[in-house]
Order: sequence, then structure tokens, then C-alpha cells
Amino acid sequence: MLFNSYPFLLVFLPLTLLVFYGLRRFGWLGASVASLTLASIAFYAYWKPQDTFILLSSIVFNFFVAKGLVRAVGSRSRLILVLGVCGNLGVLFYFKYFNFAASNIAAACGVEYIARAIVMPIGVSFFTFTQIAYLVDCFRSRNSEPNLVNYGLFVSIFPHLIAGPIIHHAQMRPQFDSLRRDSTDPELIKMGIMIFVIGLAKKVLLADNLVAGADRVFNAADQGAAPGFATAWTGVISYSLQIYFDFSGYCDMAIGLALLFGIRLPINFDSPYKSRSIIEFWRRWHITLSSWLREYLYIPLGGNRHGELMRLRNIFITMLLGGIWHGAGWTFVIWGALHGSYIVANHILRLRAPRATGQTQNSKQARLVALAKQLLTLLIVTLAWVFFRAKTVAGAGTLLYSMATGAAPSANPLTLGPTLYFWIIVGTLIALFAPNTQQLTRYTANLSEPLRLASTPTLSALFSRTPVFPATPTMAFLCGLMFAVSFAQLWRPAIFIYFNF
Amino acid sequence: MRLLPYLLILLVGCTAGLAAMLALPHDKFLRYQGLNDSTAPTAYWIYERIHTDPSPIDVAFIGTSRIGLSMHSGRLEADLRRLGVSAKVANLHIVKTGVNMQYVVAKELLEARHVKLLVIEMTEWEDRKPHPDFIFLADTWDVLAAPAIVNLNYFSDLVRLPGRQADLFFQTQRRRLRLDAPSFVPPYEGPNLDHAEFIQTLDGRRHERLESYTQAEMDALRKEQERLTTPPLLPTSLNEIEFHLTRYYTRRILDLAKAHHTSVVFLYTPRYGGPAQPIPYQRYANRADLINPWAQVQDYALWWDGSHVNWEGAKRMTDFVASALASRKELR
Repeated sequence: MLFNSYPFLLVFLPLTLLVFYGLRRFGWLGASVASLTLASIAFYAYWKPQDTFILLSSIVFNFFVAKGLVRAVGSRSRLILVLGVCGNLGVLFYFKYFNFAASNIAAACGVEYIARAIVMPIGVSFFTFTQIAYLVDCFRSRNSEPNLVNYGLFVSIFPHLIAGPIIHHAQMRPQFDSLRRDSTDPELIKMGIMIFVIGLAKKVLLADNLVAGADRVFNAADQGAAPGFATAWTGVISYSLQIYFDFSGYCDMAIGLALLFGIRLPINFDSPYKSRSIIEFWRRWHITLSSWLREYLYIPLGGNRHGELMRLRNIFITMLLGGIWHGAGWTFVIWGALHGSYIVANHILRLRAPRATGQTQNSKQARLVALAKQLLTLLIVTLAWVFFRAKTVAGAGTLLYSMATGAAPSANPLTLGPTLYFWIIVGTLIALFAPNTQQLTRYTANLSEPLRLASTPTLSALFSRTPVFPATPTMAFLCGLMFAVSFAQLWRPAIFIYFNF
Repeated sequence: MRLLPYLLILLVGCTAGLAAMLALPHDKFLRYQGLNDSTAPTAYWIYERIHTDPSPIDVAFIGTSRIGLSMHSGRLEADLRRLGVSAKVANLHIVKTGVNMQYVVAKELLEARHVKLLVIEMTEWEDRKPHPDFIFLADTWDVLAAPAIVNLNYFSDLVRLPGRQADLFFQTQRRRLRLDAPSFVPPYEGPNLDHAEFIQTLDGRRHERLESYTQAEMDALRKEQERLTTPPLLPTSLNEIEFHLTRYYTRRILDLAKAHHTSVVFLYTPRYGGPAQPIPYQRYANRADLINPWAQVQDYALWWDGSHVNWEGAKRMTDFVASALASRKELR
């Protein structure tokens, strides 16, 4: 079920909220948590009921592996951890990479390979990574979740189940305990609605209006038709903005939905196109995946513990595997390798030319340098998106060639309507200059900080130096209006890009 | 601000937004352009035939692919001429079943043109389901006021309506400002568009309809169709509920025709091996005549599939219908 679909918005969500708060009203707090677990399983089953078996098996497997490794001591505990991680990776490998690996091995050996009909269960990459992190955390802390319902909810809670953010048990457990103990803060619901509506608007009003341009250009390139210089750039910029608002919108919606149930999810997206270096970009794009890769891949690989060269090697390997995590294909391998190279180059530059990457004294010069860095970061990220979106390496090559030199005029040149340029301008302005959702709503995942929408009058709140969306009647009305406009766009629904991973 | 008032104001904002979108105007031409994704598209042509083609529409056929694939309007006109009747015929069919769509087309036609005779498709059994594309063509009020009882698409049509309105509004504005051409404008094929002889898909490919099956194959198809036919689910006394949608829209078409002084005749478009008489006709026998070509198409070699005659079958049906129409006083 998509968040941006009628069944979700008109049936699933109202029903789940009704049962959850209905049970809480009668004081059955534990039952309300269980209802959320059941609803999350139902949410998953809606896609493909038979895949629910895989999700549930994975949950039960990891729950007991964690218990086992906490109980065991010494090398036995480590062995259980290794087996648990291998089990998770095995499932991921089979569903996501088996055909890719087998076809490449077969091709290398000159043997014909007929791909097996393996359909990847949706969200498998996310729930596998979440649970690998859980096993490692249990191993480190010698502590595991005692309650299977809580654990099931941690893995399957529907706002994050399909496309993240990747969450940690340590972040969720106190919140689940609190749900079983305390009533829900109505302020979280107001903020949740606001954030959800912002996310929905980003998805359906911005991302979905950029799809057509990006699809036409990339599909043409994949079929070997080289678009002209301007068309190629327009298509690639469209895609850069499409994936930005698609993923940003999804992350907002996930946070907003979780807040409706009194749960705070980690921030996963923080205006990445405002980054002034590729290192900063990865601190702002898919933040929870970056953290996961650092914590559970880069550091176990050795991190920065064995000298600069090994550090750069580890960074490259981490980004390469991060690329492959997104999909089984050479385009993703190249995308990961490109980002690995970018980050390695960024680190080398920091070491060799600290002045160029550091702060500059003169404020005017500093602004220019900052702008140049931001543009360079945007450029290399945009170029890398070509591999991320293209279906084939040849298609990506065709497009990059067109972007570099412009293709020879074709008999039937692709024409992109002026409306697309309008959405590109709007999207660019928002991505580069507008405050992001957490700035507008003052959302924080930090449990020690209270969550409150601002209470300043609407006009002064919206037009201050640091604009915020306040909890005023005018803003509530505008929020309802924005929901209506976004809701109307759902009559031709589109899937989230990250649902494919 | 407390939660409940916040939610109520939010709801007011949402309702106001949705209501405002329902009121957005648009160019109806674009609405009919939007339904061109089927294998045998006709909606765009229907609109142009009704609103831009000045040639008269004396006889209009309204129905599904069954009527679209069995009535060749050009041949029918020639047959009628031979029989001494000069009449322009339009086959305004839209594929897929659902009488609510036939109502949409009948309304569009009768409100714009004077039609002497409306020929409405009648199948062997009454249908329950609404047309899946009703939301694309129906007027706003017709979607809002559609029967909600036993109408499987009512709520999905209703929630999609604001989106359709907004979409069409912006398409209209873009077209007005010459920002975007509609994504596809097929050339108008002239006053006669049928799929009786061949089907021309949007990619311009022409699919001849000359194939036929062996008797054994046709019998297997018939059995398969019988297996797939759902008999009335509710007791006879509750038939009005079960088939409410079809009956409601059939009555509305008849009322509409009466209001516009247009005569109506039902045309039975049987399936292979179907009953000799259409079961629903008895309900409307006092309101309109029936043309029944059942006996003409009993030969298995005249069938293209279980529900549609091939070009040979279409010629037989067309000729039979022409002879039935030639004697009608409305056309004399």
C-alpha cells in the first residue's frame, strides 16, 4: 500500500488510528501497541500476502538469534552473531542479487544462464539492514528485546517498513515502553499531520510532475536514441529533482505517520542539495543509510584505524557496497564506485589542500567559494544520478555523451513541454533555498527535546527570517487545503523510487 | 491550539479545497481525449463526431465493443439507401461493459444533436458492474449523483473526481496558453468509425477481423463464457437491488430520449451460443422495440471470439439491422 494512495489514506490509516486510539481511550495501552504491530503486518501483506511469511520468519529468526547471542558467552556468542548476519545477508543475496551474480558468472564462463523467477519481497533491503544492526547492537550491549510484539513492531512499524528510515532498537525501545505506559501527546499528532502533508505535497505536486521529463529522456537513451544537449541536461536535472522530492517526501511522510502514533523516527533527509562537499552530501542524503554503512561496514572494515590509505580504501569499499545495496546491476555498481571515488577525492583534497576545503576569511570571497563548492557538489551528484536512473550502462553512456557534446540532431527530436521547465524552476528554488521540513516544523528525533509547533501568528511565522509553520487556525486551514490539492493528484498514483530498493 | 479544533479547521480547509476543485471549469474535448488508452479507442472520435462534424446523425448506435464490432455504419447507410432510406449512421460505441457509460454518451449526443433513432445495445443478461472509465467521461454532477447502492466504483470515482477536475482544468489552461499540446490528438477519421471490418489501434496498425475458429474451439469458448457468467446472486425479489445500476441508467437513457423526442430501439447483440432472446428485454418491452439478429449469427464461422462476430458476422448483422430499420417510420 502506498502512502500516497486512496486505500491507505481513506481506509488503512483512519482504521489503524481509530483502533489504536480507541484502545488507548479504554486504557488498553499494551493492546494499542499490539494493534499497531498487527496493522503493520497487514500493511505489508497488502502488497503481496505470501511475502509476509518472509517478513515474519525474518522477525522471528532475528528475535531468537539475538536472544541466543546475548545468552551465549565469548566466541559462541560471536559465532551466533556471524550466523545471524549471514542468514540475513543470505536472504538478501538470494532475493536481490542471485540472478545478477549468476548471470555475470555464467557470462564470464561463457555459459548461458536462464534467470530464475525470483521476485524480491518489497522492503527486504530495509528490514534486513535494520535487523543486522539490531543483532550487532545486541552483541555489543549484551541486551536484547524481551518482547516479541515490541520486536515485531520495531522491525515492521509501517511508516518505515518499506523504504526506511533504517532505525535502531535503542531509539525505538524507550518509545514503545512509553506507549505502553503514557498517553500520547496531542502536539505530536498536530506536528505529524503537518509533516505528513508537506511530504505528500512534495511527492505528488513536485516529484510526480517531474517524472515525465526524466522518463522520456532516460527511456530514449536506454533505447539508444541520443537526446540533444539541452534535452539531456533537462532530463537529468528533472530526475535529480524528482528523486530529491520523491525521497524527501517519503521521509517526511514516514516521520509524520509515526508521529500520529506518538513515535519519533530519525531524520533521514536534510536538504542535501545545499551541501558544499560530497562528504556533507552523504551526511544529508539518506542519513540513516549513511550512518548504517559507517557503523556496520566502514568501522568493521577497519575505519581509519590503519592509516590513511586503508581509510580511503575502506571508504571506497563502503560506498561501492552502498551502491550495490540500491540494486543488482552494473549501473548501481558504477554509481557506488563514483560516489566512493568522490568521497576519496574529497578526503585527499582536505588533506592536500586544506585551504581550498576549509573556511575563508573574506566574507565575499567565502560566499563565492561556498557557492562554487555547492555547484561542484551538485554537478557531480547530478552526473552520478545518470547511472542511478539509467537501466543500462550503455544508456547512461549515451546520455552522458549527449550532456558532454550534444548529439547529432535526430529526425524526431524529443520535445519537453514548458510545464516541465516550470516544475524544474520551482523544484530548484525549493531544493536550494527553502527551509526544510524539520526547520519549518521544528521537528527533532531527540527524545529529550519537546516537540511543539510554533504558536506565533501565521504571517509573522511564515515571513520571519527563519520561517516556521505554526499551529494556528489559519495554518490548519492552509494545511487542509494543501492536503486537498495533494489528495486530488492521487487519481493517477505513482510509486516511490526507494520502494524499488 | 487544542487538537480537536485544529482537526476541525483542517477538515474545513480540506473540504473547501476539494469542493473548489470540483467547480473548476475545463474544455470537454480534453476529457474525451483522455480516454484513448484502450485497444480500440473511440472516445475522442465520439466527441468530434457529435460536436464538430456537421453531418447529421439520424441513427446512433450506443453500446460496447459488441455493437462496435458488429455494426458497420458505412455498410448500413448503403443498405438503407438501397432500401430507399437516406440516413446518416454513427456507431458511438465504447469498449468494456457498463450501462452508465452508455448513458454518458447518450446524454452527450442528445443534448447536442437531434437524433431520429437511438439504437441501444442489449446483451443476453443484465450487467451489474459500472463502466471502469465512467470517471473519465462523465459530467461532474453525474459522478456525484450516481447511485451509490451496489455501485462498486462509486467511491473510487468520487475520490478521483477532484483530481480529474484539477487535471483537466490545468490541461485546458495550458492549451489556452499554448504551453502544451494535448499528449495525443488522433486525426479525425470522418463521420464513420467502426471496428466491424478492422480495428485500427492508436499506433496506426490495422488489425483485420477475418479470423474464425473451428466449431470445437467455439464450443469451448462458449462453455468458458458460461462458466464465467455469474447467475443472479440475490433472490428474485431483490433483483432490483442487484441490477439496480444497469436498470437505473437504462431508464435514464429512455427518459432522456423521450425528453428529446428521439425514438429508441434495442438491438440484441448475442454472444456465441447465447439465448435466443435477451432476458432483460421483457422489462422494457413496453418502452422500445427490439431488433433480434440472433438467428443470423448461429454459424460458428461468423465469430471472432466468444462475444464478438467477425467481419463476415458483422456484415450479416449489419444487413439484418438495415432491413429492420428501413421499415421504421422515424426514418421514412
